[in-house]
Amino acid sequence: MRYRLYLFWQLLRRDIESRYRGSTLGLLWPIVQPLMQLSVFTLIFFEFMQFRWPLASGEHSQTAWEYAAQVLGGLAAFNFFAELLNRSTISISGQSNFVTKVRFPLGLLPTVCCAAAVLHIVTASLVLFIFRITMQGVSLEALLQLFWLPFLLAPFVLYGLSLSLVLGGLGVYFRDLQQVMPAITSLLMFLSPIFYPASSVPASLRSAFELNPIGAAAEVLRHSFLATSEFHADTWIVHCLASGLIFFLSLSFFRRIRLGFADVL
Amino acid sequence: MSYRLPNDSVIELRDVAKSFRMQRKPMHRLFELLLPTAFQRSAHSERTEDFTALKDIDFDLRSGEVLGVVGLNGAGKSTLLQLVAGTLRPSKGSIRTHGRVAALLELGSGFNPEFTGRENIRLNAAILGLTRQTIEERLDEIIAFADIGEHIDQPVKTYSSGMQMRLAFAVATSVDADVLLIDEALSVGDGAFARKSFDRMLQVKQRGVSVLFCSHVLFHVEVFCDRVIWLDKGRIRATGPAKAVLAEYQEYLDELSGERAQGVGERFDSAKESEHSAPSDVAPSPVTAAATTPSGHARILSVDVSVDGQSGVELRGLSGEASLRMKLSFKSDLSIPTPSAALVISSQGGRIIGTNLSINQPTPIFRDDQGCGVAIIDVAPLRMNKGVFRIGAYLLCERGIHVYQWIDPVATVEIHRNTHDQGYWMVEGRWSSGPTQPT
Repeated sequence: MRYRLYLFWQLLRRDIESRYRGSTLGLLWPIVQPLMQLSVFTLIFFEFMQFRWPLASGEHSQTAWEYAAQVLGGLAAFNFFAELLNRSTISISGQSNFVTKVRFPLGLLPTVCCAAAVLHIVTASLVLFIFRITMQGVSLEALLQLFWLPFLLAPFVLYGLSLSLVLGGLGVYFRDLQQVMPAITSLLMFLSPIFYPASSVPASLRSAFELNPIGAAAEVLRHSFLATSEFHADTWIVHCLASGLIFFLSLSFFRRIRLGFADVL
Repeated sequence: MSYRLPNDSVIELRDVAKSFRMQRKPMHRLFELLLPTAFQRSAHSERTEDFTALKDIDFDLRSGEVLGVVGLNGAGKSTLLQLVAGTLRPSKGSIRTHGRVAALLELGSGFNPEFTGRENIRLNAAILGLTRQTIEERLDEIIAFADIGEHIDQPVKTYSSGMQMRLAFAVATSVDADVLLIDEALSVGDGAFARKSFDRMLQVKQRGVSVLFCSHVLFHVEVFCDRVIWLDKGRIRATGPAKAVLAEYQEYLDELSGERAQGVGERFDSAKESEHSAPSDVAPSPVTAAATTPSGHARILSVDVSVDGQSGVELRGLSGEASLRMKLSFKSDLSIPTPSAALVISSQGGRIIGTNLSINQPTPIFRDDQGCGVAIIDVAPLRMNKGVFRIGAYLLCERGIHVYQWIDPVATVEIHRNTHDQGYWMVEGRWSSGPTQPT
């Protein structure tokens, strides 16, 4: 177990380093990139289309900053899932040496992929936290909500991990997955409440949208930093149970299909 | 696994078989794993598509033993090693391993091509179960052994295959494994590294590590292995003491190459890779004499080296006085011209000090109507300076270009001398003196 942890850190560090090594901004990129996305979205939706975000109080927020912050909460959740959808499919098939040449705990590879994607959430959370304390000042409530955030997000990270394992495993057998994923993620961007609040989804479609973990994770982030959406403890508990079950199923699925990796790679 | 296997075995294979399905899409393998019962039924109808790589494999690797695996290409050697390494799963039978298994499978090992050499060392050592502390302790030693200079901080994808192998070899032999699996590793790299790695393998053997060793270079197998398994078309054809099995295998190769010229090329190509790879402290065994000689080729039957009439493997003599004689008996196909012979003297480090080719002298080498002959060279006196020198015997084509076979070193000679002279050979010359002359 200890050696797996060591391997995990080595791989994770390397994974993140290798993406930004050599670039001038380095580790600032995970912050700069979503900010660029954000400014475009704010320009289009807030300025051009005059969209205003509804607040919990019933009023609508009026500043572009507030709208951008709302979008950032959604974007962080989306980027997390989008990255692992796109990268986990080749997390194993792209490292065939670890499959055919050594006995390697292969489950680590999709796990590292998922952990690297968490970076999107971490950086966005930092930005949102700074945004909040500049608007409202440091309060005990703000700190407490930051403290609780990892726990609130845990089920969604577990969803992500399950997805990584399943996609990483299937990616070895179906190379097509790698081609399909970008199409799916671009659809998900509009089907998830990123530019619009979950509350604006018509009631008839609401239950279908609530199944989408991206939306649920986005709502958690907004709740923690922006006080626009309420926290529903019952939904969260359902997500905890569901993600636990799904993770368990994914893990046993992965363990079964990994037996054939070396035969097909 | 924590339990001890019977008879101190470190690897135990029982009735192991491995078959690959031919011409199927990867997703079939997936469905087979997910729905085993449904697939077994349909598998019966497609049985003809199966390719059996290994069948009825039963053997033990005992603690501290070095077991060689020989066989033609496609006999299943690599599959066997992959099964033992645990990267492939047997279709049938059981494989148990005890202790830490380090594998050096084909080229490249478990390297991530994007990572630098240093990062890959850390990663591989961790995969093999070393703690972070031990890894950091050994890092410098591993890098020094691999000896690839500044490339160590470059991504492995920029490495040549030789460099990758050096690094992989350095890691695999530095991790204190209980079992080492080696597939064709020693023949890679230049002469100097090949020798270094061979010496390292002997150290590993002395440390009591069990080794499963797979090579086409029979000479390596013979010096290195206690026991040999001969794989033929996925089955064990013979197993037993190295010498006996190798003699049998050599005979089979000769017969085969009589029928199939291709096999000859393969064999001699692999013999070529063995250049300079024998360490000086191992007595090179004369190549097993076989009754037949493959068509179009010649081979060394035996080599005898003597200094001052004393023949042996580790010889000694006085600089400028000792005389050396090498007798090389050969057998050749009568359809090719009589081969030529060469004596090669090299330093301990492998640098060639001098050679003597038989084609450079007018008298041709004698060959009888069986294609046999003995080429003898006398070197008197030996003009090397003090030191240990390697003697190599080569059998070449009539023009001295293509090497049929060689044994290098076939013996070592330790030269003694009581002067302070430096270098490899004695400079002939005479000093004279007189008063300084105005210029």
